[in-house]
Amino acid sequence: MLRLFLRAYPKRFRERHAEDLLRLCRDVYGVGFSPRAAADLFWNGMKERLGAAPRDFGEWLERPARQGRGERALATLLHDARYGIRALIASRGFTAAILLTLTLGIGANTAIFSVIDAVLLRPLPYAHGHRMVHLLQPLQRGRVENAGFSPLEVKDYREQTRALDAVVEYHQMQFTLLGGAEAQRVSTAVVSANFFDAFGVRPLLGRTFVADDDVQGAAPVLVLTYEYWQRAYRGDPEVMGKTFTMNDKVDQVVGVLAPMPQYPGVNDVFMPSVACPFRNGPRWSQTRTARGLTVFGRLRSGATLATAQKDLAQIAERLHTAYPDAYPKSEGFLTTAASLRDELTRGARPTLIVLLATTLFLLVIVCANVANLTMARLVRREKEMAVRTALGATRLRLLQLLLTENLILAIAGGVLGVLVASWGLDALAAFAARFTTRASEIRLDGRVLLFALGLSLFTGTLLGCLPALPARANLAADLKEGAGATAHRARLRARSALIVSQVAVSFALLIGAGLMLRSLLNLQSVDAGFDVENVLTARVDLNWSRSGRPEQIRTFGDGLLDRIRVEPGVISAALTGSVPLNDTNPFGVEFQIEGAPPSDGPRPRADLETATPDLFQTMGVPLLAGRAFTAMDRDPAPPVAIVNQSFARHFFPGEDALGKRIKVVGATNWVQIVGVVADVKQHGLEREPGNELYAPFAIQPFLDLRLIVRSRAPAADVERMVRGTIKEMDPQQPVTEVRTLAQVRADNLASPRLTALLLGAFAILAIFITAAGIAGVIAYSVSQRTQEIGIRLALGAAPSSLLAMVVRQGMALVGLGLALGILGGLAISRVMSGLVFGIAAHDPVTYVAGAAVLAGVGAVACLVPARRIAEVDPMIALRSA
Amino acid sequence: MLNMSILDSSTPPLKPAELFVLAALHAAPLHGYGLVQEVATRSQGRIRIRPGNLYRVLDRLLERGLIDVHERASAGDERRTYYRITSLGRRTAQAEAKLLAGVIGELLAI
Repeated sequence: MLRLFLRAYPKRFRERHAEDLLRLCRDVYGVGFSPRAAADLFWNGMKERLGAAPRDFGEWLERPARQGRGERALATLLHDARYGIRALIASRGFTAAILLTLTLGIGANTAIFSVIDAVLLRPLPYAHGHRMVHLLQPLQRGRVENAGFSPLEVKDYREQTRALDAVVEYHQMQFTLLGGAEAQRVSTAVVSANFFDAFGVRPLLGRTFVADDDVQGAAPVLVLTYEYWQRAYRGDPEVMGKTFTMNDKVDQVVGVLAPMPQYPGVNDVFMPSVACPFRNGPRWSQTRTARGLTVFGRLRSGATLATAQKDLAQIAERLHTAYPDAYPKSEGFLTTAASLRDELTRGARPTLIVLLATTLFLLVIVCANVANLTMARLVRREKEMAVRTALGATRLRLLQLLLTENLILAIAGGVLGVLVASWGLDALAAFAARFTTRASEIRLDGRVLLFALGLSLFTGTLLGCLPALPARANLAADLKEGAGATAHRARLRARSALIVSQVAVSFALLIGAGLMLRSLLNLQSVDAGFDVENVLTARVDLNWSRSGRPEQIRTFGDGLLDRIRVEPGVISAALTGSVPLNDTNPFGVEFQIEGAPPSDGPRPRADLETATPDLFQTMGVPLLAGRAFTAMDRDPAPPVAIVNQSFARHFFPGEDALGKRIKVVGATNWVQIVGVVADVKQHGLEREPGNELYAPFAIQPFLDLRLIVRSRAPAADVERMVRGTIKEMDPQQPVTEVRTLAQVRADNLASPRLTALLLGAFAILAIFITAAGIAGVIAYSVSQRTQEIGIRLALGAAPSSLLAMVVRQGMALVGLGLALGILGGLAISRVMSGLVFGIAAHDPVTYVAGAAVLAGVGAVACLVPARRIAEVDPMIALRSA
Repeated sequence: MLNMSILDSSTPPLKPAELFVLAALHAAPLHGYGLVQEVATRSQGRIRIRPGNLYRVLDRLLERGLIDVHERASAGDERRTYYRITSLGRRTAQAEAKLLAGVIGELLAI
């Protein structure tokens, strides 16, 4: 057995040392086969071979007679390669055309594969990623995907679960970091001490949390994320042990995390759960329904997602029986789990699959085009092949020669393709980052290179064999001048079939791009419900430990608006809790409607929002009925609310919502609806607006404020003014996320726009390649039929009618391709149904427009080479017969 | 200055494994397994030449004439080849050792 591996050494070496070497292997590795011995022999044998290669090669070249099958094959290969390269250099135009198409095809596929590999295929970069699950508590009847968990519930599930060996919690909060030149807002993940151990995440520096960090009275500690460490401290290891003044506490940095995708939110630092006074306060920690935590679990070894789901359902049932008040039957509480891996990639999957399908289609076109070009070239080399056959070359030998040439081309195309891919990868990664946090893992690594190599070898082999398939006409005919009509016809048929397939695939790609474009146009014309011009927004997170009491927030808010309003250029200013088109979780509340009959259905639910009197005017949201808030809407006046149109339509169908009274669960007062405003797209242009309930800022102040300013001044000036005013009021108050509403809207359109752009670019590329293919085939057909055309002209045919004949033939191919392309289009529409907005996936307009574009391009591609007919001189054409 | 007569520029310097093998053969001729053990002892267990590599080293040393085959002894039914250092091998090893000693001396002086 080991002798086999011994063959890795050059022959000369084996002759000298084989016996001694095997004997020594037995002494060192023991009798019998050992993988280590095999690896040793193979590895060192290859090294010896490489070291001896230059010398051996020289000797080998000089040897007159070549012995051995392997050596002969190698010699043939080298000969073919040398010949192939010379031939490829000789026909530079052909080589360049093929290399260009291969480069684009392999490049696009490599780039998309690198994204798909990183996002969908590779295991999560946490050591226990494959065992992590996200615990969900959906309300089946209340149609809530995940109500979250309360600290009491976390404790119960942790103690009772048998399928999970760790249950960890997470929630996010904002801290104000003091001590720098400007106060900074720091997004903080507040997690259980064993959070990192559960995920299997090791720190880059220092340590993560231990149980002692997470007890009341422990010294406050924090761990930096890699990104924050790089951004704020330029990766300085000296940050370890430094102290941060966060709100009112001084925390010590005990560790820095390695780079990893952040889920469910992107944060700057991590703190143990004890750091959050709200979570540990009596209201949250002792109330079973105070659900605000995100919970993850780690599957015990041997447990599956299904067993975990069953286990959680059993615990849930026990809890529902023990605490019926906390789990009203009307809501349909459930507890289940989803694999973390699916959750991390769910957003990206549809887009990536469409992109993969697109690039694979593109590869089909590329292969068809290269095959077409190769066949055109073979025509010119027919005589060469015939001579070779006459001299005794077998068919296999000729195939080998062509295969070598094509493999050289394909590998060169692959190398260039990888360059193209690496060039476009950053842009692609930025694009993917809009859908998944795993985009940070995208890179060109060994796996991707292996994929590119495999793809090159595959296309090279395919293309080397494909053109050789049409049966050879007889040898004598090929050797004679200008003969072989049958062979030409066979080849023309094959090339026509390739054209049909190219048109079909281009059509499918064009449909994909068209659907995306129409969907984008639809999104662009969506009325988001607000006026984007001249409005600036800024996020102002108040320091909750210093000014978290309602009257403090009110004082700050009123003072801020008073100062901003009098600034030059400012038309109006307002405060609210969120900017439209954001993807943050709304503040959901349940409420009851006065006089509504009791029902066993889920309670009415709405998203609570805070608003100062000028909010709707500032945002340009039309007031449809009733009135806006006024400065009078504060204690002790009776509490009032404003609702959006969806709310009114949903809860008061066919009635006037004005004057109706509702009571939020947990509140004491009935609140009267005094106004109805138009719907605003709070969560994205493509999402339907929810039921919004606006409360006056004076009564319902939020800590996490958004300042909205409408001004005649340029945005940059307004930003400077806003920052200056807030700094003047409180130098320790950070201001973040300063954007105009126009930017917010453009950002919301960025991913569909990029998707449309990518698909469009691929489609244009496909059409371009296809048009070149059509032109090539028509030109070939015309050149083969010069005699026929000459005869027809001599007999009095008008050149225009001959032109029409040729174009008709070309267009027949295009037509056939379009008919077949509808099938491809249907396939691509199916994949895209989740991505399009406002149109059916089988949108007929897109299909017709796509067909028209392709038919037009096809006609031009036929006409250009067909014009050569006019240049045919009948006399010359006839004489050459 | 060191005596560099043997180490002219056309002779490639000895690799550590080669130097260890020459040193091991300094005392007495050895066969392959003996060499592996001797090198391990001399390097206090830090260098364990793999069989696959040992014969590459021996092959190079043979080619350069630094060692030669001493005898092919039979032990039971197995034949073992013993290698022995040549006088050229001794001189080369010594010159290399002196060169290294100079460098090491400098390093240790720091």
